[in-house]
Amino acid sequence: MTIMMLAYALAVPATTGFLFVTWCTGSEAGPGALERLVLGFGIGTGMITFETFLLGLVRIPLSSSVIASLQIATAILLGYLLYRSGTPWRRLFGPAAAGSDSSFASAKHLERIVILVLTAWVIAKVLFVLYEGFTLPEHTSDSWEQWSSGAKFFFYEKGLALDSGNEHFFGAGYLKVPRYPLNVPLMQVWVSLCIGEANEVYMKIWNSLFFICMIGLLFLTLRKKTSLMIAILASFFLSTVPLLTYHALVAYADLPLSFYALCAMVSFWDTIDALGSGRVGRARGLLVLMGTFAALCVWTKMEGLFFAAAFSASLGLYCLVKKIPVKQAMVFFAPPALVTVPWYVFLHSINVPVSYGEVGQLGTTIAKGIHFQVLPVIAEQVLFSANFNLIFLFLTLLVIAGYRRIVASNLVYLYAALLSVMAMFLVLYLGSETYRWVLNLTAVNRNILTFIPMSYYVAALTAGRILAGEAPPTADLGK
Amino acid sequence: MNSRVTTLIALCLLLLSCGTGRAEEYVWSFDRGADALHWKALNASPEVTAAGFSLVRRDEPFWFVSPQNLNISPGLSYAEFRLKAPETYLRGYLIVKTRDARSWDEEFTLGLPDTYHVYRINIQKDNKTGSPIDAIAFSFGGVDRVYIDYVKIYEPSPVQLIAVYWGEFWSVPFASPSTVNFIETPLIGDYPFVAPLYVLLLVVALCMVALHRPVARQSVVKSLILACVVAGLLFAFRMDYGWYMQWRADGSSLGQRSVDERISRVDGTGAYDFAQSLKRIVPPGATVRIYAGTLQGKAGILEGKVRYYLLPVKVSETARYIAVFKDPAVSYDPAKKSLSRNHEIVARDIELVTSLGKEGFLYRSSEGGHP
Repeated sequence: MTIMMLAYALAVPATTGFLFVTWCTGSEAGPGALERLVLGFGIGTGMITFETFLLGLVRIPLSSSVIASLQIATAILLGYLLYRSGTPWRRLFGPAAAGSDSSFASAKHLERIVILVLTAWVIAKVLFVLYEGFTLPEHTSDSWEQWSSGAKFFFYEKGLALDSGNEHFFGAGYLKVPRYPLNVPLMQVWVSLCIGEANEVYMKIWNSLFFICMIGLLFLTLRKKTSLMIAILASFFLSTVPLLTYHALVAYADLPLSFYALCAMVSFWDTIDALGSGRVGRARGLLVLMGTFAALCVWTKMEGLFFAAAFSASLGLYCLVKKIPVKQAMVFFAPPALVTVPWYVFLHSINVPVSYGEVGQLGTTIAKGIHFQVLPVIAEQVLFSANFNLIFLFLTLLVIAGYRRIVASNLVYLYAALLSVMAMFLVLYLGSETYRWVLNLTAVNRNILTFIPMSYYVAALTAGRILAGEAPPTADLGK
Repeated sequence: MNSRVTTLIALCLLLLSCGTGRAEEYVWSFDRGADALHWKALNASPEVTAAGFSLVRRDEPFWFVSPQNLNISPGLSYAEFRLKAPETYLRGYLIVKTRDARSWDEEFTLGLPDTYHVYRINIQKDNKTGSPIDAIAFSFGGVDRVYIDYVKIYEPSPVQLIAVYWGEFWSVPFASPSTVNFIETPLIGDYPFVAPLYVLLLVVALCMVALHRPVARQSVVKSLILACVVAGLLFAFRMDYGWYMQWRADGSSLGQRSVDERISRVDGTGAYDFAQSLKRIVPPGATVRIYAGTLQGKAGILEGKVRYYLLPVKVSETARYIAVFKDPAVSYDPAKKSLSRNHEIVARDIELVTSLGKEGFLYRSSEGGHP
């Protein structure tokens, strides 16, 4: 019974999210059903948690039926909108439009062997993550302290405990850092409400599933954009990132954030593609999708603000360079505003100070001096530790080798988003007291982890272009 | 026999002759009971059975101390020992004491349960003064019995050193609390294994460029990308081997257990079992005050764990029920019916409801706002 209810807890957000993504991507040929399911799972989960938050705000007792009924209503509405838009059933469950050179049958003999071996390896990794996900209970201290303790309390309280007389107002004593966004704790609440208990194992199953979705998404999207070999290599290498693997087994928020960031990046690339080919209607839907993922970044971790800002800046740059009216891109900002405003207004209303760590002291600290001592530590972690595979060296080589191609193509906007995130973290470490988290290695690698999947995506796109030996740049300029 | 084969045989002979190294200076084989007599077990009882020599825990933690005044010269760098334990994930410690009264410890992770593993530790790494080593000792916690086969201290020959490095490279530190922040990097000697991978990457790239002559920009770039893929594959192979071992460890330690047992094991502090016992005693709707001691010198973690595991029973500062867990600062005076913490009375007119294990107590006070 528990497993059935768990399946229900996962199916509800997946279905709503799937319909939402289908609605956003329009009736034209776009992502296949599986890709939309993977994207939709992330979105649906975020929708459920935000809805739970809103229900908590208006003091409606939380229950799986109340939350699900709103989700089902949303799904029906989306279904109706899809029907009205004339989206055929074939499109709803159909595969993606095949990319060039993406068929297994057209691969050479040696390539087939490599693809088969790597696929088997990835499947083994996925099985490992699932096994551990369904076996290991909550075990790391930050995991239960920061994310699950508050979730467990809200589950038993059946609400956010917002009565001023409550000794545990808004989870006081259980929710360790009240300013942390509630996406991860409320995911756990949703599962607990569905299965009827705060199960230490199933509560944290999200990370394992996000890990699998991330690998799947990278493969599915790159298969269209590059070649089968590059898609499988990129997914394989992402699945072997050791720190990411470990985060798939715990309940930290870094992996969900990295998943949402990857989804936003994928949507951004599709948006650029649509805008470049003059499909404005499709681009609008994709901008909503991208904005929703950026909003979910904000809703998952405070660092999510960096991602939302980076994508906004990069999109702004794109509009500026391509002379696209900013009005067209404004729809991107709606979802982040929809999520950010209520959340921060709520925090303000209950007098919770909002700052990233000790970032409030940024100016003071910069006046005292910049913490250059973080630089060698970061360099050592990205280049010589076993946390991320060799992605940073690989990405650096690609940028050096394909600099002209990148700058002259639309890839530059993806790099702009990625580098902006990196730069924001760096400024934070250099200019605030958070530099200590770099020196004692408590946060730096987890922060880097949040943009690792994006890095793999961008690297694979770049490598694809370089290996295909595309004649640069000018051909790409129009896109 | 051609000259290549002759050279190869000569090289093999040279390597074999290198492999003997210096004589092993200190060897204790515990399967022969006599050697064990020279060592001293603290908080544990030595036992010799058909399965081998073992230490059975009497108290926590327990030690196994070598004879004193060993006078191990700084030239002897490695301690090698073979042991097995019924638990994994746990850390053991090898404590080293020098003649100039300095000491430090080197930790090692217990390997898969119920199988002998050989561990090698460089005992001179932290010997800053170069003073002779006077004694060594093993320290274990959280494990009921440890089998020890032998201990030897020696200076490895170059070939033995390669074997040591090889063993270190493949030794897998299981996930620990710090893993969430960083993955322990396998070392080759003193260098992270990523460094040799970069060298390999360069070599592979150069070979590919050489194979694809004439050299063109595109072929150089392709070679570099392919070399990165090769190096990345090797990286993945080594690191995923670690996850394979983790899977085996988790499978044998947790796989067949109920959720309760799994939580209890991964908690490892007793907080979960204590909270479960409390939940059975505290009446529905009642709240609890918690006093808990430190965990590895840090205050608040044990209390937080009990608080977390205790839900849906909530914690309240004014609760009548008072739970005390592993807190030596708390004392109960049955005569005065008071409870003190750090010599300050925190509750009066209380009674002991029950003891939960050796370090857990539940009291009830007639004071307090909540039931």
